[in-house]
Amino acid sequence: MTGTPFRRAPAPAATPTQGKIVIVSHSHPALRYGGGEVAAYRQFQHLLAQGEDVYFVGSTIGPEDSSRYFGPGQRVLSFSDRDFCLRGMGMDSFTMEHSRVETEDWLLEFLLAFSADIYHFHHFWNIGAGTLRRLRVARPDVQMICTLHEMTAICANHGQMVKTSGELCYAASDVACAACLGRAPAVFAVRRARMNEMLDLFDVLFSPSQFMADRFEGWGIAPGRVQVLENGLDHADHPAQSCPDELARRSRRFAFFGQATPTKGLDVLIRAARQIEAEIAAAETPNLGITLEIYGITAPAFAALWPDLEVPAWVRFRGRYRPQDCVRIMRSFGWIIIPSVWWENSPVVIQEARAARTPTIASDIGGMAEKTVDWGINFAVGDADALAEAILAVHGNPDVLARHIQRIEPPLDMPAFTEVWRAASARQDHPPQVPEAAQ
Amino acid sequence: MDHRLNLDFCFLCPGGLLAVAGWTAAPRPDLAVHAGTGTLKPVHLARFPRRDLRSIDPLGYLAVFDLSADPTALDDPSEEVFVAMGIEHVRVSGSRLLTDARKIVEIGVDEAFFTLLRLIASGALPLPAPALAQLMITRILAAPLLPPETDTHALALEQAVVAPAGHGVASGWFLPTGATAGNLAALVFDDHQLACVSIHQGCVPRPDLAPYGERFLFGGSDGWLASFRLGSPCQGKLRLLTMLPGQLTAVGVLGNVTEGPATKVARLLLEARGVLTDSARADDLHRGTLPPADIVAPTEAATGDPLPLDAPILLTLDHDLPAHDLRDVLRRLSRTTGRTILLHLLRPELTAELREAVLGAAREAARPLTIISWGGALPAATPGPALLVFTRSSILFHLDGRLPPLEAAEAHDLQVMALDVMAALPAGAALLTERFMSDRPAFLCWGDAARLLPRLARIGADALVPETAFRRLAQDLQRGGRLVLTDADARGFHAGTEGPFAVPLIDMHTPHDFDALSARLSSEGMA
Repeated sequence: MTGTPFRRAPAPAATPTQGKIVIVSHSHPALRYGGGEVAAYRQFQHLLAQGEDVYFVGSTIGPEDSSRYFGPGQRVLSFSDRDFCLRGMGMDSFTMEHSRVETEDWLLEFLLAFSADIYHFHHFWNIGAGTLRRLRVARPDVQMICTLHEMTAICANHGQMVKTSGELCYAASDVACAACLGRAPAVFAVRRARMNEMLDLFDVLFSPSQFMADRFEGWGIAPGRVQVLENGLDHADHPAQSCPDELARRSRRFAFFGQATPTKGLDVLIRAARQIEAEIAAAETPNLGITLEIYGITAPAFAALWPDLEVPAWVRFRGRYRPQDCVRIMRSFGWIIIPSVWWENSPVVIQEARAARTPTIASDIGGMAEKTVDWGINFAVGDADALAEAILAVHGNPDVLARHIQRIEPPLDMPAFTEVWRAASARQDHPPQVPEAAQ
Repeated sequence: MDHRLNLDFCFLCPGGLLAVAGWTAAPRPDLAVHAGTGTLKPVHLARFPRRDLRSIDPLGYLAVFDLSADPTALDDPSEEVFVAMGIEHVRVSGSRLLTDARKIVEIGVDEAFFTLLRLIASGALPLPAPALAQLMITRILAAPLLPPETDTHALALEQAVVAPAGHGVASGWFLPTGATAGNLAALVFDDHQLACVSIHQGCVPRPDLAPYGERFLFGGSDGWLASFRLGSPCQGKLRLLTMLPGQLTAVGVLGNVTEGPATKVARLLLEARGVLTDSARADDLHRGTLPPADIVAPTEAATGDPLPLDAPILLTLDHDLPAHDLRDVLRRLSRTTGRTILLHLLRPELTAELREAVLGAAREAARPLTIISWGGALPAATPGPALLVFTRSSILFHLDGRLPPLEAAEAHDLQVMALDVMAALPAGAALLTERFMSDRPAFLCWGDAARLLPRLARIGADALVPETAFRRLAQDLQRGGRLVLTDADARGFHAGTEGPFAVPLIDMHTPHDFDALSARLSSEGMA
């Protein structure tokens, strides 16, 4: 391909301060509403509104998605002059490389066509280590930034640092990973080197949580190299304080927001609900109006995942919800329960709970423990009894709820996020590792 | 009956052996040979009936004398020898000693010729020279054959495979009667050469043959295993001739040997190891397939212009990592050396994933990086002046950033860097060379391709793993003082487990393990 693969974009509304910026995400929120791509797109929109000369490049996830949205031979959709969606070819997250070099050639050419000064990657899946190396060779002068949305570089088991046996994983090593995933240690040594080399290409590495920054440092990234920058969130001002009656009502209302994946720990929550039901029945007291509502999953979907787990009648499945409605819905509850059985990084549900000023009851590990410190309650991960105990301890107790609400700080908003991002992206503390071939 | 000595043929064989064939009615003939000043008794004596003498008694004889046992016996090969029985003797001229071998093959009675074949098969007589072997093969093919099953025996050849290098294995079963009980003998032959077969009888449990017990002698372990090695790669159709005890009216039972890859032969040998309870027997069977251990690649002094320091690298790579990792391995080598890389990939086929990996590496390489060939064997020739580098991908990856200068040396044909863990131990450095052969650590090696490839070709294609050929070459060059062997830091090294040489042949035995076993058996045989 020759020439620019898209029409020249109109000049930005205001004078840009940081040159041309390309925000690249492994997915596109128009097609898939995951935390990483939403954060990336929010950043794009905010920078655009700030008058920056900014572009967004997302992607479909894989060939299945692609055939739905793309015509034969079509490689990119242009949602606007600044908003693009690539035809995702799928990528083996173990290798983190495109299976065909021709795909990489084209993607590189596409990225270079922006002549950007800053390339900010949210994740590198669907982009590829080879693309990043060659971009760095082609443009040794640009700022390359990466936001780490999970631990794929460290962990080949979907980046979750949960062993295939179900245990939490505390540290990766070639031999331990080989034992976990049933492949040779040599393969993990090569992968580790490739990922390290790739991360070294970036001028700036961001992690939305200290927990994950620590994991990367523990894995071998130089201390201080990964900067913690929480994803920015657009949200309204803090809601008005609840009146006592409302607090009393909310203190009996619990909710779960999340997807139907085993690592979200919904089974732990339902077992806790069964325990609570048994305790209420044993005490021969009414349940005092306790409610538990499950958002993001339907009863049939739950039954498909956990067919042997009986759900108490007082637990309600509310199904899918619009993400933009989330904060408003959360405000009607007293507590948001986050029972994930993996580390989580910086779950958006926690930011949304903060925006809604609704405290959380969350597993005591990883990003959940870090992000809810002071204003949430933690319970032992995977322990349904401990969760039931935590719920019953706050159930019907408006004073405890009020105290926790008081401690909630609003989440990082987009202006604050952008301020930190601008400062970081203007620095060149870490000279990028330009492969010798480029020198 | 006439008890006189009748002598039909008398001829010298390689190694100072003298074969004498004839007949006598004497039941225990006192045979001797007077040669030079010495008098020798036979080291082997075979008796057999001869139909031409109209007797079922074993009047025929074929005796072997070892003239090398008497230093004076072979002083003058043209000198006459005397074959004696008691006081009777027959004078044999020197010229006859050189021509009778051909005559026994051409005009000897079947029984004498068949006995000669048995003595060769048993090792009592050496294999004939090529011209005589050709005659023998012609006569074998023209001779009457023994049916696999008669009233006197049942012999089955179930499997027989020969590898391209000329070594092979066979298996089957044998149920004799009283008339055929005893040791089998066997030879293999193609259009031009004969070879002995090491046959192990009664070693494989075959309870399935029990129903034959009514007709034959069923022992329970009536399966046999055999191995052989031709002097040179097979030319034409290979046949296995199995000769039965007491059956001299026909040459034997003839069966076909099919050609197969060396890995198939190796797999059958390993399977046999699982069947044979006697490990010494399993070792013998395996040894029967091995080449003579004393072949040494000549160590010629270097000639011609030295290789330029920036000569292309002819990378002969055992890619033992996943296909996609080839890109990392190649681009890192390109980055480290800054030289043109011509890749010979030791993979049977260039899959799309491998091809993409090479293309990807080439995109990132500062100097040309191209794949010139692939396959299971070493490259036959270099496309031009080049530094031959052989290694596994996992080693290149491990040594990335710590690679030594890859340059050909005038004084040494081959430079080897072995990942020997023990070398780093306080007292571990001393036996690096010995461990290179015994422990067989993984290694990287390099040298002038034009000098190394012809020698590697002479070492042959016996080994399952090309690495073995380099190891043998290194061993030979080390004896000639033309090898540099150093150790590399092996800390954290993880060998790859992919590629054709890492695929187990059977159970957990990889081709690397099989070659190591062959090397051990070969060196034990030398000792």
